[in-house]
Amino acid sequence: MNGINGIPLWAFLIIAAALFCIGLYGALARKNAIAVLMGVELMLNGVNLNLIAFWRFIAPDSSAGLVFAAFVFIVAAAEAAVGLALIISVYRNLNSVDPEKLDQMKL
Amino acid sequence: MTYSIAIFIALAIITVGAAIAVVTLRNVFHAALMLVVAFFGVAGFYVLLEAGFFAAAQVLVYIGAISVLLIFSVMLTRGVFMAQARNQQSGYAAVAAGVMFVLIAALVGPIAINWPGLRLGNFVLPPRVLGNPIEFAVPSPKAVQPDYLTRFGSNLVETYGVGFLLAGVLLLLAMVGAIWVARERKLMEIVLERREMAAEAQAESDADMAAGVEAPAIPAAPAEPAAGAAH
Amino acid sequence: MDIFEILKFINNLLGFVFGEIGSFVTGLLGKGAGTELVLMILAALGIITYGAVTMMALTWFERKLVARIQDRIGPNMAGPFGLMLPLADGVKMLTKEDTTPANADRWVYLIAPLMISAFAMTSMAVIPFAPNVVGTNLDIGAFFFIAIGSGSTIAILMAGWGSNNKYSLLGAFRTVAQLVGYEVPMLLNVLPVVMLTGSMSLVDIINKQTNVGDGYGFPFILFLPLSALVFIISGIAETGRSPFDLMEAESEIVAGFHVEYSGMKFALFMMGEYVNAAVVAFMFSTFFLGGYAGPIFVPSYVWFLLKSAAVFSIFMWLRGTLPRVRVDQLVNLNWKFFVPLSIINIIMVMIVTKVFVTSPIQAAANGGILVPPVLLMAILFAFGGGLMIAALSLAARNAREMREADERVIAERRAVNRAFTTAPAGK
Repeated sequence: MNGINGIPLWAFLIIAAALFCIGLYGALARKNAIAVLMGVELMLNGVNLNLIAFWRFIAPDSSAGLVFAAFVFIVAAAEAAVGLALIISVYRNLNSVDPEKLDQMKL
Repeated sequence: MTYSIAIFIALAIITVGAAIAVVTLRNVFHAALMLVVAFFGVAGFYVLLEAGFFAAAQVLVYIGAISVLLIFSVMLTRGVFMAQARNQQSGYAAVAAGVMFVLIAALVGPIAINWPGLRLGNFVLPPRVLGNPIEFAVPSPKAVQPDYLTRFGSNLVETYGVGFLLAGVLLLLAMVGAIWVARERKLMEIVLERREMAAEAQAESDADMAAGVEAPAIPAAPAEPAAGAAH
Repeated sequence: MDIFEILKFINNLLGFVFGEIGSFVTGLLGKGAGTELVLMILAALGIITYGAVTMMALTWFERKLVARIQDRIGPNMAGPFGLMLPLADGVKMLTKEDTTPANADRWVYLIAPLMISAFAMTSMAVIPFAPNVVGTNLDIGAFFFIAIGSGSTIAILMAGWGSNNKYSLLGAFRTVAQLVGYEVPMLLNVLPVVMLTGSMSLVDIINKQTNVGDGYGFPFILFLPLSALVFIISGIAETGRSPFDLMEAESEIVAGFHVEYSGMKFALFMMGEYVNAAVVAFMFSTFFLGGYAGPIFVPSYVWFLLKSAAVFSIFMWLRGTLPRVRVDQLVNLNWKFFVPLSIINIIMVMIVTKVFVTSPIQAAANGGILVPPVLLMAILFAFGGGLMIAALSLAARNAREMREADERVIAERRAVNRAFTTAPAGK
């Protein structure tokens, strides 16, 4: 069970799982919509770490893992931009960023 | 203990600690700064995994762009960041996150102990897939080839070229959409928007009244505080 | 020993000295991981010291040069020719009162200047000063420089927020808008250099500009004049120097995001800014001028310093000559002029380097016309120069139209004013 310089695969996977679960808690349990988005970014980072760890250990000579991770980067950036634009727009109309106040499809 | 293990443990403590700080701090600005620390930690993990390009990409994209965007949003929605940190369902959320972690750890467990599989007579766990049992044992990792970046680049635009082009279109749409949604609206535009919303609400309540639907009950006034009643 | 051998020895002197120091330390502590750590720490300390010394020299050089451009002498009281000026500056900074604004976010306020200096020093780790003298020869050196440069925007936001001052915050917003905006043309113009080299490593980029191996033998500024021009302008905007110095203009927004900093913290901001500017000059000379490469009669590290000093003198020349750019002009220039121009430049370089190749292996594998490097340089220079002339003339025509429209509006207003201030008839 030797890994990269002595670090086995499961260590990276546990860290990625921890990041994912902490992000999940943040996305579900925060009162500020921007903090919810921060939780989502943590989840995406955990996923990326998982992908790169598996790429390194299982298939370092193919690029599929790297390409997948690159796409996750791209999608995370696009989603953060649109999400924050929406939050700012909601703040202008409702003067609050509490996601619990947004319970209707109309403002 | 070699350096890599020590660095790994230090990075793990920093990253997970910063992540916990992100989801617990009341001050959203401080939470955003702790998120930056967590991103640095993840970049360090990428360096340990010998994917240096992705470490630099993480710093460039996440810390240089997404964190700046988050901090700008925190500053533009100011005045609401000193509220309570957790909402009502935080207990359930913690339980959900804990259960999720246990489930993922159960999946990671067989990889950790190089589980060869369970065999009870004819019953085999894990089941066979196409005649071969699922391998949990992780072989020693091969070395990363020195031109992995070149091949990554060629694969990105040749084999996965459709995805690459779609990602470009996605980014363009996200950019245009974000600018349009958060644009500065002139006063006249805001007035017209509000007028339109009021007209729609009126039309809806008219339709409800015509269909005989009960008007929504007005919530009762909150009870007088006991001190006030004593006056 | 003939003169050629002596010259080669002096050329490699720096690498030789550092190698000897390395073997000395290894002999002292024995081989092992601990020794490597000590050597790395020594190298990091050396680079940081070099950064600090560069900053000191640059402050003196800048004050003298800008003074001469403005027809005065500059500092000459602190030591002969004012050479003790950096020392005097340091003593002044140390003895100033170190204030902290009330209600400031204490940790955020304290860490911001440290972060800026740290990021500036980190990006010096990949610069090759001489053959075999480089902090670490990363295979993603160019990308590392850009990533670290973009990381310092967080520190500026922290400084603006931590000062608990409206004007600091506004200054920080404008600064971050400028920095994040000008990163895009900077990295879009490093891309053609990487395309021509085939690798992101800075040592490879320098080797490709010399005659080593399959190098071209000419500096990349002759291949990519437009990229060099846009890179240097974006670099000036990135570091906040004149004429893009809205970030720190005392007359504009009361010195922007570092108005509440005094004493040593302000000195750290200044150090971060000067080291950033120095790193941009180093990077320009590495990407486009050939770095430490040059004829053998001048040692390689001296070539590197001469080229970087020449680039830095251009920065100072612009500072002493041009007026400040307005914030909307700055942002328009970036997104409406530089970014489309850089993208068209990349497409042009892509097409030309695929059609005209210089190595026979590539021609056999992908198909393309085999040309010697000189011809490739001529073609790229022709296309790049043509693009530059077209873009600049378009910009000039646009500017002339805007100026004429402005003048028309001013003349109109003047006429209206005159009509209303002359005495009405019949008084």
